[in-house]
Amino acid sequence: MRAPVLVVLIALLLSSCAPASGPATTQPSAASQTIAATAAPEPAVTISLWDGQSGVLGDRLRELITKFNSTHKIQVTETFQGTYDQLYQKVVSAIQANTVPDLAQVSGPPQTAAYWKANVLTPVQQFVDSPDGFTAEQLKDFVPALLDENTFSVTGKKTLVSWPFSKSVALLYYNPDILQKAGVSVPKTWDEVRSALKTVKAKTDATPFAWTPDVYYFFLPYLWSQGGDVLSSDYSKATFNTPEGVAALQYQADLVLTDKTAQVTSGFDWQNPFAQGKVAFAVSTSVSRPFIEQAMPKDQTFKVGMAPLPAGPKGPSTDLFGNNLVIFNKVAADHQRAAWIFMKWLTDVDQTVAWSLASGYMPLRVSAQNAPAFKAEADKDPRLLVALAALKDAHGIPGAADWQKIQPVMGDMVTSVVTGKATAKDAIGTAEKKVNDILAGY
Amino acid sequence: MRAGRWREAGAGYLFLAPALLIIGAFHVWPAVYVLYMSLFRWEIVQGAFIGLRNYEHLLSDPDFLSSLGLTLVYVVGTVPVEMAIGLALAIVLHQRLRLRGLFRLLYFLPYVTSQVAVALVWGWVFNPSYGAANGLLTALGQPARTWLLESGGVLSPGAPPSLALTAIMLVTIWYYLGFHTVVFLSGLTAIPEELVDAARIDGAGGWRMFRHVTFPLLSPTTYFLLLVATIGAMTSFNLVYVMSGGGQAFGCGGNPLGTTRVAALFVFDRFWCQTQLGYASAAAFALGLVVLAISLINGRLFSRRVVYAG
Repeated sequence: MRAPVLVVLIALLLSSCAPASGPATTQPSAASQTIAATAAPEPAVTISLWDGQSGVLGDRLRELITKFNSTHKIQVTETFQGTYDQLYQKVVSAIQANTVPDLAQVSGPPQTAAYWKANVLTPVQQFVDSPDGFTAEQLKDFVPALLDENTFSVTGKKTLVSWPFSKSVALLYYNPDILQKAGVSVPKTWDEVRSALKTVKAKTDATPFAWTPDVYYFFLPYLWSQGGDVLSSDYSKATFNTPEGVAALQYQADLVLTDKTAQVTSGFDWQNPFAQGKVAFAVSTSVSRPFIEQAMPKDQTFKVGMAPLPAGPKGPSTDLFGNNLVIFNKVAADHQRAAWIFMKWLTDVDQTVAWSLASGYMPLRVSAQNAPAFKAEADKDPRLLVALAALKDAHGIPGAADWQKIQPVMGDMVTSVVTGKATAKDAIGTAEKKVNDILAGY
Repeated sequence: MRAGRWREAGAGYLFLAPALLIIGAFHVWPAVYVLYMSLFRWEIVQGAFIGLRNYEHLLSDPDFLSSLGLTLVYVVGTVPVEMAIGLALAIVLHQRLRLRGLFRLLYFLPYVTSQVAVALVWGWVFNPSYGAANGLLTALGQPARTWLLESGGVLSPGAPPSLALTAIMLVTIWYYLGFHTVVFLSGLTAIPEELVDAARIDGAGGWRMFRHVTFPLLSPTTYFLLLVATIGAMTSFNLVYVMSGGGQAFGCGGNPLGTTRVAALFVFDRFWCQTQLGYASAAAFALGLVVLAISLINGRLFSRRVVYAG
């Protein structure tokens, strides 16, 4: 009997220690941050970058940082923190311990939105507008979709909160040898994909398609290509329980359960069989190519085919993936400025071209796409242009702070349908209710 | 005299200090802080004090309640099985067998291996595309299964445990078997020879010897194992997390369809993946209370049946 009384007493005691006004909800205003009126000399400080760039991409990133450090007073130390989710978890821990790095990668708009809601970021806009930044004309050189993805509405004004760095889109991967054997050409619509998979199944021993079901590959692009969307524009409610949403789910169920042309895998388990030439089609981001090529047996290589995701009645659509960079507001002003100078340098034409060619991510600037180094490589290998061409059809992942909670609900929705545990209609109804509950508050 | 007493007590506290410090820093303080966090709306940063509202919400959260249910299934499906097989093996290994030392080593080996390494290897065994488990099924003419991706129940299609959780439970049993065997063995060794001899002279043997002499005298060991294994299974994380994908795919632990999301994974998911730090803390504290309650029930039910020899 005493335990509940004790809990209540502790609760009451703690309430007196709680912050009087709850969470800090005011965002840093541009006026509160002091920026020199003219470009000051570069600060000689060492700044820390936390990233989620693994394997070969991590090596290439460190090469870029070495180049920066050898030509600047600012010194950058880089720490690889695991997958994007692990990086996010470590940043959240660092926020609790007040030991945030100066800048970090974020996997996309939802994480930026979550940090922004927690009031831990300095918006990049204030540096863009400073003497260290860009003129309006210079800013036009950046691919608009990439700046849009980093732009949030702050007190009604469009504000760049994060800065683009490594951008990719979802693409259809294929094995040209298997397609040739089956006599099918690269499909351009969702219907063509379905019939191509049936032909591959009938005419070859290969697994027609292998993928790990989630919300990003297929559900969202299919929904968008039908004219649907997942959340309302103010992120206040779910909008996917529509005939287009049901069709997007049913399509995947048809491949797995009716046609039996798609194999469900876990994580990146599809990658090795695809690299070994056992799978005809896969779906992943444009940066998967170096990983697939690395996993290829030396005596059994093939030229990895890359194509845009298929089109629906409203044209093609794809997800904008990759990572952006954010600056934390708890670090000293000169560190924030140094972080911006480094971020800006990373997106200079030379660096964005070098990073793109080294990693498979897209160049961020229009002028970079025309730079001789990039053009020369693109002439040699037109696959470099596939992702760039798809960029015009790319949708950003919703910049809702609650997307981290919504994503697993949507993933379960897809999984329950492709494993035959629920009909598309039932699954979408259940997911809609859960998503609306999340958006409503808890 | 008094000074001597103080000195003696001081020395005692000094000896206690290292353990107290470690337990205080890594167990007591986090538990108190978790209780503190659980009383706030705390996402990435600390928010408003909301008293017991996180706990109220837990009571109506189907995901939390289902995770408690899955934990119960996991405990019931692993602890008694580990203990029964462990006891049987211990009795066999207590005999004068050839290569007895080797067998003891073999059974104990999994327990001294890293749980993450074990879970990764078993993850490959159950891999639907290249796993040995499907290789075996195919060799026996049976259809391949998706194992750790299979959310369907093994007893009935919609009821836990799913095939995925069952596979994890099998690995859990395999992992802890050696521990139970070794502890039971030490319990068997501690049974006084004269009691066994006396029973034998009275004509007891085989099953009667086990039922009336060995098992009752093993009861302190059995009680200890029951308590430790139940607490361990209630808070089990490593094997379940890694075999459920370890957050490698999009989303967090507990796939497929949350059918392996036991309580500890629910806490992890809400804390790290959904960054609901306050709510997850409430779930963690509530789980602690549930474990405490079950331990007390265990104590009430079984401690009176424990017989100490000598």
